[in-house]
Amino acid sequence: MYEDFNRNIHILLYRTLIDCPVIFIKLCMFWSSLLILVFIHIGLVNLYLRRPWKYFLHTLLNLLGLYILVQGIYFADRLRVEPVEGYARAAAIVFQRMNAVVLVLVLLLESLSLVFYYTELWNYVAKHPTVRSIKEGLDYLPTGLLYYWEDGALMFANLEMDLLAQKMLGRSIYAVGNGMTLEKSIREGKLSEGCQFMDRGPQLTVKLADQKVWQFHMREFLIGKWTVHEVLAYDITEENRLHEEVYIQYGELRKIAGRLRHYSENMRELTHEEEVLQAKIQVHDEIGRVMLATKRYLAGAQDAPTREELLPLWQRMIVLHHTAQDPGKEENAVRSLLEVSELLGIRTEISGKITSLTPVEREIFMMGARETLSNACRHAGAQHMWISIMKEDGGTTIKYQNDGKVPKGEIIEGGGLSGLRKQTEHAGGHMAIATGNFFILTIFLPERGKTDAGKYGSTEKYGTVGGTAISGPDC
Amino acid sequence: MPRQLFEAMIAGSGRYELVKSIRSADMADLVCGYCKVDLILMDVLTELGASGLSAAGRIKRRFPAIRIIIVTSMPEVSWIQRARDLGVDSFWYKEVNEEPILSIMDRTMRGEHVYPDEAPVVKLGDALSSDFTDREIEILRELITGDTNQEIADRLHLSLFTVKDYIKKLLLKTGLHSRTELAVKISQAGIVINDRQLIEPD
Repeated sequence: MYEDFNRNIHILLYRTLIDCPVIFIKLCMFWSSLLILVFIHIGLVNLYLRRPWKYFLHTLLNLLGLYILVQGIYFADRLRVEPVEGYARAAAIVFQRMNAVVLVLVLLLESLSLVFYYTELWNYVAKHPTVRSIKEGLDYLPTGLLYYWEDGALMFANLEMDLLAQKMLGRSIYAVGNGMTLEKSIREGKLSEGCQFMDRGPQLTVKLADQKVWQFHMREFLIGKWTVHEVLAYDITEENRLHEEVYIQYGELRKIAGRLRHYSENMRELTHEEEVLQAKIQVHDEIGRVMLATKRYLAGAQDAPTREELLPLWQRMIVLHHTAQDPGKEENAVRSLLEVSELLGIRTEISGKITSLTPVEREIFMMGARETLSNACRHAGAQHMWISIMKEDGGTTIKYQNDGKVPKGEIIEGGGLSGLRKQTEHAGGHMAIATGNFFILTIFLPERGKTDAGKYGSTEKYGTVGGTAISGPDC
Repeated sequence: MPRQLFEAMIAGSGRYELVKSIRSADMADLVCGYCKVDLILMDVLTELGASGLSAAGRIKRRFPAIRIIIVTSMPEVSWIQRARDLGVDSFWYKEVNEEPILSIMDRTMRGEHVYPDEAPVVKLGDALSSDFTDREIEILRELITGDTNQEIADRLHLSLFTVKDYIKKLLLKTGLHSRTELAVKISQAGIVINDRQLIEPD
């Protein structure tokens, strides 16, 4: 039995193709063909993945080998039943002598190598994204992406950009077919109903019908020698909402700041008025005490004050009575000026309301009044002075005019006038002096927030005018 | 004490003669140029928003021989030093000072400089006005202008962060809840008063 087994193994090991049964030959051919197909698949996958040529070459070599093997087996099998000529005969003769076991081993080896190739391919695909996987990833980004060539031809648009195009233009970006059309439509406002272009600086911002806000960033760059245009779309709905909230709150804060500024500017006056009010309350109480003391005196009460003690109290009360009378803010303001001009021997007339001036305007006004009164008294020998305050569109004009001697030649501004000019210009205003029949100093102060646009000419400080009096007789 | 009471007091003093009593400090130097004046009682906050300190400065420059006493009831912390810097001779708090004004006038005419040690202490929230540092007072003065923190930082040559930090510390110190509340309370207390609208003269 052992000898039989040995003999069978021996026969098997040394059996050539020509001795193999037909079924065996057919099976080997089928197997080889199958391997060819699988290697073709691997080759195509490598080509698709754009892998280095060596991988494709390996596959090609295997394919070639298997092809020759299949051809050889085929011709060896044909030679058994019919004669063949040419290279087919040569191939047949070679393969007829091929050991069957060796053939099976070769086919097994090729099959095992497939496992290796597929494992290697699987690892490669796992580590390297394919074009398709990149496309899939980009499609599901929350950002819109669009790339197009110099002439507008589309290169790539992801799903989000396509949806945006449908919402803004009413059709797919692929139906539009041109990348420049999208930008142009946004800029020109040619959008679907409900969509609105928002002016938010250099970036294009669009509010869609569903109230979502998208911002488009455009740029171009070079790939090799070709210019590619890129459009990125970002959903800034939340940022826009916060921006609008901040804008409203900022507006409220500016209002509060304005009220605070106004409160602060008027604080001096308010404090002064509060002092006066406190004094009046004190005066009122004192008047009450004097009246009570007088009543006790008249009633002949025991602890009543004497006549000599009462007299100074009554004198004081008469003074206090004048304090209690308040002619009003405007009259107080006018009297502040008139009491001094009367002392200087100048009759002053004021038109316009001093109380209509803002605190800054009032300070400049008083500075001007001080300077012109002083000059009118010391240098010009004036007897009349006219001051006018005119509120106009955009600001306030204050004019000081006197009937004193008009200086001849160029006016050299001393410390007072130059200080006045400095303060006026610092407040955004303009000062001009005109000499003719009268000396006229004019100050223009713009409203807060507006600057003077050279109302009287920025370089001309002085001019000669007819010198029409603001009010009062012709001199 | 209203101006008329001062007039009555001077008239009754027997040793002083009233030259002129005017409502606005802005006109004071004009009067000094026209009349012979030895002593001025100058309020800080006068009619038409005129600052008595600015007027005192102008008068001291033109008429250094004229003696000036600043009289006020406001506890503004910087006025005492400003008055000293301008060369004002004496300083008198109307409500707080126990020494009568006539005595201050007599001492000033004798060449003395009568100044209080400090401004009256006023409560602001949980803090006293004496608790604030010089820089904090500066910040408070800027707060009442209504400007933004950035504008304040630019004006004081500080960083925005520093200004915000100061405001936070002031709110903690006073126990107040917001910078607006702080600004309003400061203005009402009179600890800082914005009496300078215009730029300082050279």
